[in-house]
Amino acid sequence: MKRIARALGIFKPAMESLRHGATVVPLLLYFILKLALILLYASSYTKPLSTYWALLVPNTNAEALTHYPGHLLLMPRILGRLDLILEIVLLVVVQAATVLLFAAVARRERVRVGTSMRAAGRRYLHLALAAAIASAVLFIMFEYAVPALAGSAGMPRGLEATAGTLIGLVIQAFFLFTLPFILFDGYAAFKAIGASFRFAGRHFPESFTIVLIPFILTMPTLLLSLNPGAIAFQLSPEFLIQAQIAGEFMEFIATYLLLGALTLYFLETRIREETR
Amino acid sequence: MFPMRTRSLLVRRGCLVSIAVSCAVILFISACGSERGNPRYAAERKLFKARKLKEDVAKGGMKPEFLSKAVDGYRRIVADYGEAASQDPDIELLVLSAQMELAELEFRANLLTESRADFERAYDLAKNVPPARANALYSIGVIAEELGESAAALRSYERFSEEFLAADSLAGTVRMNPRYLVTPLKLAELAGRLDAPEKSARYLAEAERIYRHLLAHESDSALLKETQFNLLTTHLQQKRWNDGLALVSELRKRYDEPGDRSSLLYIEAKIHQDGMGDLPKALALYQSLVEKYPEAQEAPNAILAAAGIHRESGRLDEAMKLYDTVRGTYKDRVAAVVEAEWQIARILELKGDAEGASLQYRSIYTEFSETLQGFEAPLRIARNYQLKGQKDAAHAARNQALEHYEKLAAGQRAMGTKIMAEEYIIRTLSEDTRWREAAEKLLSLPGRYPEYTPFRENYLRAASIYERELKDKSGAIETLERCVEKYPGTELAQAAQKELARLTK
Repeated sequence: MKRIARALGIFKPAMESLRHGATVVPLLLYFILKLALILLYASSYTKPLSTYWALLVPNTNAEALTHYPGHLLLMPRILGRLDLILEIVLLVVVQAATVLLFAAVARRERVRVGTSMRAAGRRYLHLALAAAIASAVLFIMFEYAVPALAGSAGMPRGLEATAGTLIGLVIQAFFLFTLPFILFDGYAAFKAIGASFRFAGRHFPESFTIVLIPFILTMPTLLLSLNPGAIAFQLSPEFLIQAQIAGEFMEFIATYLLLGALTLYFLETRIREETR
Repeated sequence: MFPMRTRSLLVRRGCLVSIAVSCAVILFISACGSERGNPRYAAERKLFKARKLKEDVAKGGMKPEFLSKAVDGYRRIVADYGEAASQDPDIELLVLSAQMELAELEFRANLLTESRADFERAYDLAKNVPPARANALYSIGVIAEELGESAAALRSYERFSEEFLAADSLAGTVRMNPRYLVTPLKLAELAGRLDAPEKSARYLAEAERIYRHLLAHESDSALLKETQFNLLTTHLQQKRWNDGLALVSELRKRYDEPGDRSSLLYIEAKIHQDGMGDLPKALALYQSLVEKYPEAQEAPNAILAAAGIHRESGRLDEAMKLYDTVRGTYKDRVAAVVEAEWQIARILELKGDAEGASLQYRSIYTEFSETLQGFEAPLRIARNYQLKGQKDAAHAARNQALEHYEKLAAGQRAMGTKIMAEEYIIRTLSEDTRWREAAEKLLSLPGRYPEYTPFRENYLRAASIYERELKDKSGAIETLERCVEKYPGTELAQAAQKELARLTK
C-alpha cells in the first residue's frame, strides 16, 4: 500500500511542474497537430484524399469514406491506426523532450524546450525503435493474442476486453522506463527495454499505478470511441468529431501526467538507490 | 549559408517550427475540402437527419410538431437536389429514397392524400429503379383503397398489373415483394365492389392463370407456398368451395408446420361455415383447431367464430361461455378480447339486460378506449336509452360520451386516436341534434389539424348542416365561400363552387 501511495504522491509534483509552462509545450504542439489531423479527416470525404485515409486500414473501401455517415463512423479506427505510426515517428521525440523538461525542473536546471528537443532528436533512432517494439507488442497482444486465448477459453466479450486491458497495462508498465534509460543513461533501444523491464519488475506496484492513473483519466473518452455506431445513431455522427477531440485532449493530459510521474519517480528512485 | 545566430535559431526551433508548419498545411488542405466538392455527401447528411427526425416521430407517437419537421427535412432534400439528380445517379437514388420515405411517413401518419401525391412523385422519379417504381405504384393503390376510392384503387392496380405482372416481368416482380402477388385478387375484389361482376370474374381467372404459371415455373419454395395460398384465396373468391377444400387438403400434406396446419384448418372451417353452410362441421373444425393448436394465431378467432355460430343459432349461453373463454385465455390478443367483450355486451342486450350491457360497454370504453369498439361503446349506451324512450338518460349518456372523446382528443395520444375522437365528437353532437355545435366543431378542425387533409372537407359537411338541419342558407353560403377562399384551385373548392351555384340559383 505504501508503495502505491508513493506512486500516487508523485502525481502531485508532476502537476506542479505545470508552473514551468515550457514542460507542456511539446505535448501541446503535438495535441494541436492531432486536432489539425482530425479536422483534415473530417473535411476529406472526397477523392483522392479519402483514398489515402483508406490505406491506413486494410480492406477498407475508399468509396465508403466518401459517404455519410460511414466516413465519420470509420474515423476512430482510421485515426487510431494513424496514431500507431505517429507514436513511433513523432510522439517519441515529443515524449522524450517532455521527459527531459521534467528532469530539468526536478534538477532545478534551466527549462528550455529547444534544448530538450535537440537532445531528444539525437537519440531518435533508439527512441523510435523502442516505441516500435512496444507498439508492436501491444498491437499483437490486442489484435491476436488476447482474442485467440479468449476464443479458446470461451471467454465472454466483456471479460475478454477487461483481461486484454489489464494485460495491456501490465505490458505498458514494463516498458515504462525505456525512455529515461535511453535519455539519461544513453542506452540503446534493446538494452533500455531490458533495463526498463528489470526496473519495473523491482518496482511493479509503483509502475503499474503510474500507468493506471492516466489510463483511468482517458477511460470515458476511450469508451465513447469504442462504439461509434451508438453515438452516431443516438446523438449525431458529428458528435464523433467532438468525441475524438475530447479523446485527444484527455490523452494529452494523461500523457503529460504519465511522463511527469515516470520521470520524477525514476529520478527519485535512482537517487535513493545511489544514496543507499 | 545563414548567419550563425539565425542558423542556431533555426536548428533550435526546427522541430517546433516544422510541427507548426505541418499544422498550417493540414488546416489549409482541410479548408479546401468542402461540401461543394461532394454534393452527394451533403445530401446523405440531410437524408440521415431526416431519417433521425422520422424515428423521433415514430417514438413520439406521430405528434404533429415532430412530423412537420421530418416532412420538411425530406421535402428540402427533394427540392434542393432535384436538379442535381438528373446528372448524378447517386444523387438520383438519394432523392428517390427521400421521396419514398416521405410518402411512407405520411402514410404512417394517416396523411393519406399527401402520401398518395408523394408516391405519385416517387413513381415519376423512379423511372430507372423498378423496385421503387413498383412500390410507389402499388402504394398508390393501397392508399386509394384506404380512402375508400375503389375506382381510383382499381385504376392504380390495373396500371401496376400492366407494368409489372406481364408475362416477361412477372418473375422479377414477385421476387421484389411477394405481396405483389395479391394484385389480381385485389382487382377482382375492387371490381366486385364497383358492381362489375364480369370484370371481377375476369380478374379472378387472370389471377388463377398467373398463379398456375408461377407454380409451373418457379422453384423458390417460399414463393411457391405464397402462390399456393393465393390460389386458394382465388378459389374461395370464385366460390369454388370443393376446389378450395381439395387444395386445402393438398396443402396440408405439403406444409407440416403447426402454423400452416392451424391456418389451413381455420380456412377449412370457414369454407364449411360461410361457403357450404355446414355449421356443425364448421363448429367441429373450430373446436379441433383450438384443441390441437391452442397457441395458434387463429385459435382465439376460431373460438369467436364458433361463438358467432352459437349466437346466430340462438344458443346465447353457449356463445357467452366461449366469449368468456377468449377474454380469460387470450388476454394478450387485444383485438380478439375486445371483440369478445363487445359480443358479450350485445348478448346482454339481446337478453334484455340493459343495465348489464351498459356496464359492459362502460368497461369496454374504459379499458380499450383507443379501439373501434372503445369508440363505439359510449354511443351504444346512449342508443339503448334512446330505444327505450328515455330521452333525458340518452342525452346525459351523450354528454358523458362527449366528455370521454374530448379527453381522448386533448390528451398526449397518437394522431390517429385524436382524429378518431374528433370524428366521434361530431357524431355525438349530431346524434344529440346539437347541429350548430356540430357545424362549429367541424369548421374548427381543419385549422387544428392542418396536416390532416380529409378535415378540409368539413366545410362541405358543415354547409350541409347549415342548409338541411339549421335551415340557415346564408350560413351555408358563407361556409362554402370560406372554403373556396381557403383552398383555391383545389377539387374541394370546385365542389364548394358547385354547391354555391346551387344555393344561389
